[in-house]
Amino acid sequence: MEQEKIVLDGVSFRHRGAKKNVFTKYNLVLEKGEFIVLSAKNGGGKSTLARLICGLVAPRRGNIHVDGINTKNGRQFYELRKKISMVMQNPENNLLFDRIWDDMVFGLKNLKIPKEEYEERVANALARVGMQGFENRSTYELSGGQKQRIAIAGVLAMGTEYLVVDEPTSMLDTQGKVEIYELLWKLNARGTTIILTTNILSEKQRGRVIEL
Amino acid sequence: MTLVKKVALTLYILFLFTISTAIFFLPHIFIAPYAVFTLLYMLTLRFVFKRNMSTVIQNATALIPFFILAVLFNMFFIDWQIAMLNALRIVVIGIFSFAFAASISTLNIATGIEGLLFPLRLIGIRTAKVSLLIAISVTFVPILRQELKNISDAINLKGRRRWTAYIKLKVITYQIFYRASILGDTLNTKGYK
Repeated sequence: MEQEKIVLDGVSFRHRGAKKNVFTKYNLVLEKGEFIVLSAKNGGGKSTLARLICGLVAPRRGNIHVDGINTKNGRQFYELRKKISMVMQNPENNLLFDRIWDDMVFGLKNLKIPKEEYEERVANALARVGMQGFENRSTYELSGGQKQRIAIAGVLAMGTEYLVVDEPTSMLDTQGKVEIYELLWKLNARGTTIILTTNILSEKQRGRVIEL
Repeated sequence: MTLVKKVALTLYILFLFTISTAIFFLPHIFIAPYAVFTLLYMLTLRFVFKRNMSTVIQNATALIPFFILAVLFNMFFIDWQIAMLNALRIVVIGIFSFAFAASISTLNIATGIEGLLFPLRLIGIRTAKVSLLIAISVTFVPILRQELKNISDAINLKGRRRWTAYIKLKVITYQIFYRASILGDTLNTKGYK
């Protein structure tokens, strides 16, 4: 229980070639089960922070621990991915394969999930995002909102407990935005920790807002 | 996946390699029959197996600049007729490959390639990873085509002709590396190391 959180401890980070740090000795604790909103203006570092938390990039100084796993520790890469993953801003960037089944099973294969569990995990994940029965459809046929749902389903199928979503609605229409937010709130109510980055705060914003 | 299906996928991939390799080495006289064979293959996929061939045609149009570059390059070393035939050879192989990729899912391509690379497993090479990388590279082509379209749209909006996009090599190169970087991140988030 003590370890069930994400801890950023003295994190400093600078992009390659940049003169200034994006973060300097930054500290943050994110508790499991929360709905966190990381808010900043454009260029404010929210996507960078999302990538740091997810382990896509390593901090220059300091450490980030996800449930006790250091994101800099390459040997614990698979344990980390079972804990936390990310859905990126552009729906096109989240999907690798033409068939939805292939895209979702790809993550399960990498994490060495037993083959017997594939069907159930994929079906459950698709049901949770309201896309049941879509396993054999092509990813090319989907709308932007549907692609983001499938991307989220892919992460859920992997069994991740922390879901980082980087401005998931910035490329969607109003209807798509509403659908994705409602989905994220529903997932959080059922126990998934959501870390959402956005540059637009609505008065109806739920969860803990952290301004960068 | 059953062993029979794995073997079938491996043989299907072997079919692709054999056909593509053969046309590289066969004399020019075989280009026309090969082009006819490719057309019949596409028609079979479209009307018998109900595969969508529109993406194949779209991807094939992206080969036009490569055709032009191949002709220009070859003309410095051999006469223009041989240069045209060599360039045509590349285009026909490309179209056959696109049709092949449209006939089978990417993961099944990876399974088939893994079967072909099986002997390398015996010397410690991780054939599953290699085959998956090769299969994913096939999906990169339509992504690059889209990037080229984005660049040409941007150029058009700034008052230049679309074809000038093809000579903006710096922009195209940057976009290729950028997309590769995004692909790397996506693979990472799906637990691929």
